[in-house]
Amino acid sequence: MPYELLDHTGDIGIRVTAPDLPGLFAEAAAAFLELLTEPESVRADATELADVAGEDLADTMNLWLSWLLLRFALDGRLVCAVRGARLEGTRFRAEAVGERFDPERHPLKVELKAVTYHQLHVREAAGGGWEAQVIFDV
Amino acid sequence: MPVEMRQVADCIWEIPQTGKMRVPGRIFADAKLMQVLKDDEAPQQVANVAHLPGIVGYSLAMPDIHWGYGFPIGGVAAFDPEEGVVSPGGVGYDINCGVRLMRTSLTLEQVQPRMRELVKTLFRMIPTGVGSEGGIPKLSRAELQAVATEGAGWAIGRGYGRPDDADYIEEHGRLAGADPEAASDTAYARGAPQVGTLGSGNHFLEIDVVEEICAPELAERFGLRPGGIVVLVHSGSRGFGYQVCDDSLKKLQKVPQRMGLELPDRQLVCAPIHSHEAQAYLKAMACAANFAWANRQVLMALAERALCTALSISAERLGARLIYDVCHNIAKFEEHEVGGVMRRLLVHRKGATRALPAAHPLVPAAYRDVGQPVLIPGDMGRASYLLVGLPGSLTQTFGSTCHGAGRVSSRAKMLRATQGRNLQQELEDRGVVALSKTRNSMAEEMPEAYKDVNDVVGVMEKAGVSRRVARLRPLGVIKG
Repeated sequence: MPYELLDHTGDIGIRVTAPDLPGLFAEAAAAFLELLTEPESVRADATELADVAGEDLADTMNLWLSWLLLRFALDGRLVCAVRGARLEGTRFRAEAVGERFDPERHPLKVELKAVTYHQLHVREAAGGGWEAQVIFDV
Repeated sequence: MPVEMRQVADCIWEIPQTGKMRVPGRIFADAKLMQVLKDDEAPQQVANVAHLPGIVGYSLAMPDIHWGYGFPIGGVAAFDPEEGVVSPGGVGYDINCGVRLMRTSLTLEQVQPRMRELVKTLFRMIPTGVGSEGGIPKLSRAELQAVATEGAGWAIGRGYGRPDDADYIEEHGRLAGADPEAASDTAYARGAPQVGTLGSGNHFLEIDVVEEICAPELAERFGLRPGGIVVLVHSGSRGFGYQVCDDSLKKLQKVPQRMGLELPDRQLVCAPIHSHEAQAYLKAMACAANFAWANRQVLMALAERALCTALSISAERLGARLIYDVCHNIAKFEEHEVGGVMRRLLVHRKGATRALPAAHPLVPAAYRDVGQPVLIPGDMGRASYLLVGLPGSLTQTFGSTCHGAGRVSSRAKMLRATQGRNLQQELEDRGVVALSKTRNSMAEEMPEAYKDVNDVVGVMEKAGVSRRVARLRPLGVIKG
């Protein structure tokens, strides 16, 4: 499994791993979707472009997940696939593929309020590859 | 490394001032609650808050303390307006998350046989706002700006509740200093369909029976009798507030560096109170606080309608009256005595409730001789409490007490522990009918996830900060 749930007392945290940085951002999006709903229930119907740049990689990760959260909160967009993910410095761009939330087909597991900066990190993993940790406010 | 904590009074553990801490930390707890805290990250967070400039006295934590983000949940910290900072993470995403309590003329005998039907009607008529459904009709930008400046008064003016309800709300349901231009377009877009929606997570609306009167002379003043039915609402500023906090955290990311400030946690970002960043945050935060009060005002009116519908009775027969509404995520300028001198301080309460004693001028006139009511939602299965503030709150906690039971098990652990269990049945066996919109919130919020609320309110009573007036037992719960 490319991510694990953290035992945070008040909220929900994830730790994600991937062989490379663009893959790490894509895996974080997959984990985010699985927190919200059943990933297999979401179809790849429409594509949107994401383009975020933070102060550093951790900030960029926060902005990327915040973008996904807002796309859902504002327009009910669920993202089930990330294509063409690329990082230039701290700028992350990708095509976010998915569909609109449908309460009949998408069982909603939780409402996420925000992506926090608490204990947020993106770093090279001890055994190679990359690792990110993110805590969401529930 | 666990932080050092030593007992300095019956119910107080102190974290000594070390390294770059500017004040010591103090946790209100008893030995049983401290046992739980040993392995929690929350005491470290108490120490982290003590690093912030201009903090006065102690970095405090109430006995429902648990691991949050930035500040611990249950944290209280007061800052000098000249030297100090405001930290949006010290208020939290759900700005003015809070609780209101409404009494009714109903009795246990009247509602118990019809509880399932009552809960179903509440669930149908009170939107959770989670997913696609809206609350009251989606509001225009101009209406939302009115919500942000007028607070509960906006809702009262549109027929939700009664004209005198504002007298029974902290700050009269309207925090001064709100500037509707200070909140972002995104905040307005998130908030537009969410006035009058409950939300998810630990938010709920509950029908309770008054199970035990702890202070008869006080309970009488709040119109509570054993066997009486009350409604407890726990909700906040919804997406509007989450976005105000998130926008501010992102804007403030570079400020600590500019101040030459090294922070132990990025979520603690802050700005000097007099800086334009801090002022902009406080104006937007007040908008979100007002949004929350309007939200709870509408939720209570919707609950009243739902109860009338389910029981086929008139509003007069229902006899609903607001007892009080308090917030537990806020930063407010208040006057407090420090070292014999009255000082104006910016008090952050992150999962803590204001608890003013009798005779304090900010206690509503109707309650001034008994003290400010404090509402403590417990877990779904055990109990909730009505307390009043005591004089010890002013000398020990900047007029604050606990805000709930406090989590003890992580959400992840609860999801694992509840797999394959019939949670609805388990709650029904405890006499609680519960309905929830999202799959996880029931599992994550089961009673075993929480400390015993009886222990938590007991500590604050022993410390002379607040005292129990009545214990409420949940009969029916709806959740997001």
